Amino acid sequence: MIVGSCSTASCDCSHARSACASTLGELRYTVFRGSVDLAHDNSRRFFGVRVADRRYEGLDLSGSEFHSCRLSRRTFHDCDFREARFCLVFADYCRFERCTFAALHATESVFAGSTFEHCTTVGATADRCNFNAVRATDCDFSDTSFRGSRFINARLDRVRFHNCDLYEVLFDFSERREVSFKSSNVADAQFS
Amino acid sequence: MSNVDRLIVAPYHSDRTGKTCHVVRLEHRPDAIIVDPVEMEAELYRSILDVDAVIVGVAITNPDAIDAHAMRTLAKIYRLEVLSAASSVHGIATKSVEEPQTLAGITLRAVAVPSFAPHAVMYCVRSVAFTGAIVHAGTLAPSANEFAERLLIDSLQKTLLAREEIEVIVPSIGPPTTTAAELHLSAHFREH
Repeated sequence: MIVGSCSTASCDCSHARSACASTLGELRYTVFRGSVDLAHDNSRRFFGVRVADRRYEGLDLSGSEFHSCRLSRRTFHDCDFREARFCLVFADYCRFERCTFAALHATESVFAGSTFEHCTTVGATADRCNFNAVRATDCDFSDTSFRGSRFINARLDRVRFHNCDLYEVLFDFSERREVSFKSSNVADAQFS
Repeated sequence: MSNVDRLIVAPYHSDRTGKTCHVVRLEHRPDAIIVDPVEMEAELYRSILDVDAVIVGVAITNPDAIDAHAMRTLAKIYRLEVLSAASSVHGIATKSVEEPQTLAGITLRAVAVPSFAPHAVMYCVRSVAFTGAIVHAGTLAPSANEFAERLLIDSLQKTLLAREEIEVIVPSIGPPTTTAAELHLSAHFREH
């Protein structure tokens, strides 16, 4: 699905290009323009921004849209991503604690190296997402579509994948303890 | 706010071929390019029309693997400039990629990967690398033997992964990834 340009600027650097450049590095190279503090921004649509470096607690981001955003290395505790939409979101090396992603719609997004603790994705879609080397503990990923996603080298402890669509999902080299795939479609999934 | 137009990268996944192509354009321009086009399915064409984009160019990472129908259909609908390391693709003349080329206001710098295929290249646009089928999230294109794989890994380390400006990797196979995730989490690059 092609998403058009979004009118939400959500940028806190409108008056200081030099300050913006210090955050972003060489502007001419970057895709992500400006940074946004989710705790102080009421926008529900975020396009092409970086999320400010801080710990986010108890945020209601339900129904929010993130397109081409960089959330890397951020911590989210008790945050609500219910029915949010992620497309080309780069959330690698993040920490998600007690977050809900119920009915999230994510495609082509990156969570590689992230930690998920006590999180749920029930009813979500996370097709063609990169979960390589994630650490997930006490999570419920049931009723979720992970078609074409990758969990290579992931460490999964007490994780439920009940009734999931795991078509062509790669679990190569993953460590799985007390992981259940009950009633899931594992056609062409790899578990080596 | 910076004067640099934001780059819009819109993925389109073809369930039939299992490949993803990317429509790339600048925020305030209608002209766009497609990287590694898949067959022109109705949904892809509708998506392009929905955002009033006009395709003016195609960038091809590996001419040996590009879909002939996709190229011929696109060439019938649009007046195209085609970027490839090969001099022609399915009978369509191409522009050389030895020097950076600008299409639709987007400057593409090609990085040759002869260890993968004679005319294989990756394209760097700002902080994004379009890697086609060469490198994906946690995996590489299959090589004929161990020596060929080692050559490919060395080549990627010296080119793509050595470029500090490249933050994200957008392949045509599987989910996207980041250079940080590949350098630190991928078995191919950690061990060498």
